[in-house]
Amino acid sequence: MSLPKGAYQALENALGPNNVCDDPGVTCAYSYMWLLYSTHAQSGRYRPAAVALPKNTEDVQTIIKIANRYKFNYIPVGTNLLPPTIPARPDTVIIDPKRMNSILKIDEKNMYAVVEPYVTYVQLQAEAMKRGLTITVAEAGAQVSVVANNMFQGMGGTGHKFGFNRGILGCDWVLPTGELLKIGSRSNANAEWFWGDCAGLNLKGLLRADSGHCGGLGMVTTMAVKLFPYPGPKVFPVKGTNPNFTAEFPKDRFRLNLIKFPERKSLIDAMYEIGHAEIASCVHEEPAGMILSYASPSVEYFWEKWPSFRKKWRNVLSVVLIGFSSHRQVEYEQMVLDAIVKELGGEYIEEGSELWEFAGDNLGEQLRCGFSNRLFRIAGDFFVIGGFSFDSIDQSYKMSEEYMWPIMEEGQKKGHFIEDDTHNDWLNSYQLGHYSETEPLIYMEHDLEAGGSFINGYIQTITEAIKRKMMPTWPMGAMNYIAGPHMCNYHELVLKIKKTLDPRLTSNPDYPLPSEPPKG
Amino acid sequence: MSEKTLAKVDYIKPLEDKPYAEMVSEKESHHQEVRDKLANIVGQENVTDELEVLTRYAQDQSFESSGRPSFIVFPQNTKEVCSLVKYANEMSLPVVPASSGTHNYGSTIPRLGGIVVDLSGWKKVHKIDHRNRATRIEPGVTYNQLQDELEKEGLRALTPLLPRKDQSVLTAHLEGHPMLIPEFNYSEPLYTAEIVMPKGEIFRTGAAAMAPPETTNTDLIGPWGPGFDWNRLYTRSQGTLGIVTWANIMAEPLPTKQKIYFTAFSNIDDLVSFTYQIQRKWIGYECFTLNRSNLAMILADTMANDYLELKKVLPEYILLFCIAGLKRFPEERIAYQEADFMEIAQECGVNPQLTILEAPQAAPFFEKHLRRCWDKEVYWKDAYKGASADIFFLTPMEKAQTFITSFKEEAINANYSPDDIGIYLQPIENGRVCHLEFTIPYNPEDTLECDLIRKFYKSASERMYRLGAHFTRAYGMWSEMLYGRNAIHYQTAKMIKETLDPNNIMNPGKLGF
Repeated sequence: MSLPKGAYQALENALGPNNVCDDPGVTCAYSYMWLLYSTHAQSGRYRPAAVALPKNTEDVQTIIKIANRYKFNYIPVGTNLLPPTIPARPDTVIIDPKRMNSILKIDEKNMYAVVEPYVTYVQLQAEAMKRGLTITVAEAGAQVSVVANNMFQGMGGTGHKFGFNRGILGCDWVLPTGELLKIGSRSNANAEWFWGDCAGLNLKGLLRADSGHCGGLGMVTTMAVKLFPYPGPKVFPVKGTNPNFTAEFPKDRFRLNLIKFPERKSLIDAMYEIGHAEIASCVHEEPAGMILSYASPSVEYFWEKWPSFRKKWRNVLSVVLIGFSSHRQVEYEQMVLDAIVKELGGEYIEEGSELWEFAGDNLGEQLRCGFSNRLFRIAGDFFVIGGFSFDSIDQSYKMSEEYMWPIMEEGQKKGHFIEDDTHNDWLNSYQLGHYSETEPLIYMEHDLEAGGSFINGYIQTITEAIKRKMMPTWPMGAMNYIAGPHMCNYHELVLKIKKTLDPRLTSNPDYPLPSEPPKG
Repeated sequence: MSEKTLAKVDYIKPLEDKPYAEMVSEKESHHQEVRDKLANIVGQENVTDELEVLTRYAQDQSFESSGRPSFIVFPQNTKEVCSLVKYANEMSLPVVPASSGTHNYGSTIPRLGGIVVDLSGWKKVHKIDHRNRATRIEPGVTYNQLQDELEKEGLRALTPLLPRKDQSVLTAHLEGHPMLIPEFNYSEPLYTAEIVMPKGEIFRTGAAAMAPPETTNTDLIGPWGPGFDWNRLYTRSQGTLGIVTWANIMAEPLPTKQKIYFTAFSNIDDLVSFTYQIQRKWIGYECFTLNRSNLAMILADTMANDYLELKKVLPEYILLFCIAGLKRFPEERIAYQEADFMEIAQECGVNPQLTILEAPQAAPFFEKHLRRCWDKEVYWKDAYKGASADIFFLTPMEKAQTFITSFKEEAINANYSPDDIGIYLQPIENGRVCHLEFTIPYNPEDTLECDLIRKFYKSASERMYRLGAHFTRAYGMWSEMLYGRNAIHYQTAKMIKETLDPNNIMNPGKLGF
């Protein structure tokens, strides 16, 4: 677990002794994460050699230059949500931006915020709302890093209106050489942060993709992100206390519609019609397991309700209307939605009904996701069997039915995932229905066999997509070697670029993909 | 990292002690050898080295230095493009892709000679996917052609302001031309694309990577990855990273009814304030501003009389704002947006009208041409003096006044009449930024004026840059201006270019490397 001789001292000299640590009590915390526990792939296998806490961009440059001088690996992290933040090699330093947690600027007029990597959605959303603005918040939870999510995918509950993966503006990016690359309008010293695309070769294209470079090409230390108009209250309108809280928005500007369709195909058609009509701000198929777990104050409550709830909650589409211009917009959009629902045989779940009570918080959840931790209550662990396979809404539906649910049902038969026969996913419309992705949720215990079923099932969704020539579940790290040869050998290009910008392969070495395919 | 030599032109050999006649003969024979090989790939009738044709490709509407290619080739399919690029690698021949009929910014001028691969004849609209609001097009498809096809399906293309009739839609999308609708999604209207990479292999972006369109089971919609965001990396790269042979792009529902409002302003600050407010409400479709010079050039029937008369009477700035209805309840949609729009107008003390009183021809013109190409023989920007030069960049709208004032000062310094400058302000992404474009009409036959304009163009570009303009397209002299001030970006971009195009055959020298 040790660093090359002198490296630790060099880090201490640069950052101060309080900002570097190799105490096993601390480093141990960086070697586990929820998803890896279930997959037992490498959980706890390596503690990082040290954790470094930079205060600013210059500190990050210094750490990376020291890493180059002393030849150790490093992983830049955000808020540590996903597997790429966990070391897979012993001589690794975690660059943890805990001290870089400032919102540097909110440009109210031009609708953007400039943030450091440890700024979370909850932090930014609170400030944005005060100014009549909002941001699409990652459904992983409002506690995640704005910078990391935007580089990874930039997903959010309001993606139907606010889009997906389009949030990045000007950036300061420390390359694996330690040099500072300024992206977009930042490249002009007099131009501030307002735009993300570069002239000539648009290097922003290397910052983001379907899952970003995951720290494999250095570290973004400051990012400007897009904000959007928000016609709601200046303070998030929470009522009650955790876990029994709800959010109440003014109904003339915000309206939640929960619509049951006789079959899933009609729900899909409705998503298309809503997109073509250019209405609504949030459009999601909402699966029963997710809705009930969000509504459950305890695990016992969930299991008591689940048998009957899953029969009643089928093919439900959640549609949130927001009146950006005025109450008139909500009224108009409701009229259009009513027509679509009628044409397709849908039926509104009435406000105040038993089913409504389970999902009345759905509107608030789209704007500021805070319930995702409740997904763990059901069985201790959860994820999606596949998904993030971006293409059309029809494709999301097709891949869900053709191979994702059969894989899930295999796991259920083995007793690894909780029983669920609803065939509903968390299937999402982005950019007014222009494209989509689907996430079939699975719930499992902290159990190695169940974890095995999950990871094998996840990989199987990639291979099944390849067989069918469909868009595969997002491959991370080594999984790119499965998808790459079937997708124009993109993995070879990605690796070439990784080697060009990070010739020593020390910036999170296994990402975007390792230099060699995994053995076996 | 090692310095790579730039790609060779079709014949450069070390000086040898040979008789001149022998050298010439060798050169001719080499030229013929290359020509024969190109003809083998694309067919004899699809390769030319006629001087007259080569000269046409050697320059364009810009001030960029000319550079004559050795051959123009017209491949008929992707396989031929791949073979051409592979052969060019063998011979170190520069390859310059071109898709539009008219070129404006120097990006297709072969700086180092070589082959121009002209795809302007590729005019297939492969597919219109109504359900997914997409259309897959070849590089030579033009706006009117596409709009006609889409309208049959109840769709419309995303259009820039009155594009030239031979403007390639695909190029406009790749080069990031600003669209008239400031909807934020339209900043990235490309779904997927097929690219012949610099080594001659085929790559497809996003969901298209899985299989060619003929065999895929995807809808070619997902724009992300695979791996990196190639769509972004390739946008504005001016053919330096490969040749795009088709792209699947966004289409949108065709309005069933619409109302176009014109709002007059005498100063830019009031205009900007109004535009911020309507864009914050997220209403309407097309929304842009023209100054009187631009509007007069568009609306005048004759330059000698109408143009000058119109310029005298038109307001300083006109904001055009279109409200439209779709399939369901179109009148109701127009009604609510109109009510919200008028509320803002009242608050701002402005008076939107369905016509321009001083130019009643404006309403019927834009009703007909808003989403179409410029269909007269002489392009509207060139109508006044015979030619024009554009300087454009992105900036927050609130800074528009500063830029306009400085630009006009620079014009005065250059002895150019500021009244002749056309101004086009296009809000982007609900007013997050705007594309600010200055059009400088000039007489291309007047050598003195051309020299003056060239100097003015350079000094004004420099001044705009110093004021904080963000130039997103590194055309010609702008590439030196931008990269010269950002060594890290230049070096990183050069490394990426070398990684993807190790023989540096794709439009070499265009971005300074």
